[in-house]
Amino acid sequence: MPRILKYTINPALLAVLLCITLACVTTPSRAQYRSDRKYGFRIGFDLSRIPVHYLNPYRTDLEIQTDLRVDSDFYVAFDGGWNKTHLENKPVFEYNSNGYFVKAGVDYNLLKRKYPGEANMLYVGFRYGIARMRRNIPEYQISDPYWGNVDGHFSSKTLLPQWGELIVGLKAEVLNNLFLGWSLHLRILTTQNIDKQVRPYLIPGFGKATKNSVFDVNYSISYRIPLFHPKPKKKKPEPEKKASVKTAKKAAGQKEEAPQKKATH
Amino acid sequence: MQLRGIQYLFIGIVACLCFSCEDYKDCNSPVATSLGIHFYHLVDGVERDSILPALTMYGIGRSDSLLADTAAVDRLYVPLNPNADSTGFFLQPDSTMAHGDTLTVAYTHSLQFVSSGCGFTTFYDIDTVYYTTHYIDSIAVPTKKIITTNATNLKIYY
Repeated sequence: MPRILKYTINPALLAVLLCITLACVTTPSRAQYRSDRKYGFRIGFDLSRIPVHYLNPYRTDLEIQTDLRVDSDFYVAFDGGWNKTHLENKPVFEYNSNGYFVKAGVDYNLLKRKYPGEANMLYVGFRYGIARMRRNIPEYQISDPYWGNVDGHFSSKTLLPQWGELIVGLKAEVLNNLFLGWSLHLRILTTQNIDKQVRPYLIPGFGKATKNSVFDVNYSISYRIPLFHPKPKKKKPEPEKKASVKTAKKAAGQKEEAPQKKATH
Repeated sequence: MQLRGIQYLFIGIVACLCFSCEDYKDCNSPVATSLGIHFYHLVDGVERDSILPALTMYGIGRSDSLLADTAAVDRLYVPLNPNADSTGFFLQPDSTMAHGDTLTVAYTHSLQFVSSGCGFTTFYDIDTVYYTTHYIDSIAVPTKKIITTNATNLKIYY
């Protein structure tokens, strides 16, 4: 593995290889383990935003991810977060924005379980996101040697961009109910002409908005709170059923006796 | 299980680092946008490239600064005025000619953030083109949006 990592620079390729590996390794039939009862509400935090902040100090992001298992392999997911951006390169420009976002969608687990309680996930998902952000450009300057430099500013403005998001990811239960996972995100803006004057540089929850689609990687740590464990209901024996059981036993006894009678002949 | 977790952690961090690196305060690529003009002449309704032998061109209001000074050109990229909603140009195909034509391009414009280093640039969307017809036969607008420095936005037929 280290040798592969040494020569394979493209992380997307690594992700694909890992997904294929996991899909191939897991062989048992899923139907055998559909009845596991580890349901719960999972809440997580996107750790990848920390190195992003240190690599790109102009942006500060926070993202909380939650999901709730509603079926054997289906999860309803809600994410939310916040972003603050401050870009400054005087006298060329100064740009500020901040805002928050919410995303809602579903995840579907593709991983076949190796054992009944396995909670590792290889999943695909979809989200629809909306952000409410405020951008402000106190000053900018565009150099134009022919017509003269352009100096100006744009006052604060509130924007509501929206987008759709496709996700492929992994979550591994490293300790009981504690998960580490990473995911690849393709986000596509659905709001056209977010701002006719100045297109925002960065949209909370979406990322850089210089293009209509962006690719992103998240790395999250999450904890599953086992809120409920649906268990099979124990049915109390009813008189009618008892009677039917007796009848069945009687019938079975008759069947057992029948060969003995035959044997006596 | 734990080994797999560590593997995910490592790959995740590598992926994050690779996808997140970004230059800051470096501007290494051209960001200005230009109106691309391509000159043609029509022969029996068929367009052919036309090299103007000695084109003189300047922006109206900037006659002291020529965009083309008796130059033999078949295309030209000129700046639009980002402080206005229209820009006028004077074009004289040949310095020996007595007159020239005026070309006025009306547009809407918006700012586009290019990068942390380069700041903003201006994108234009051509609305209408007005022109005189001393020498110009007609003008076509194949590309209305001006977002680069090397597209053909106007075809001028002589």
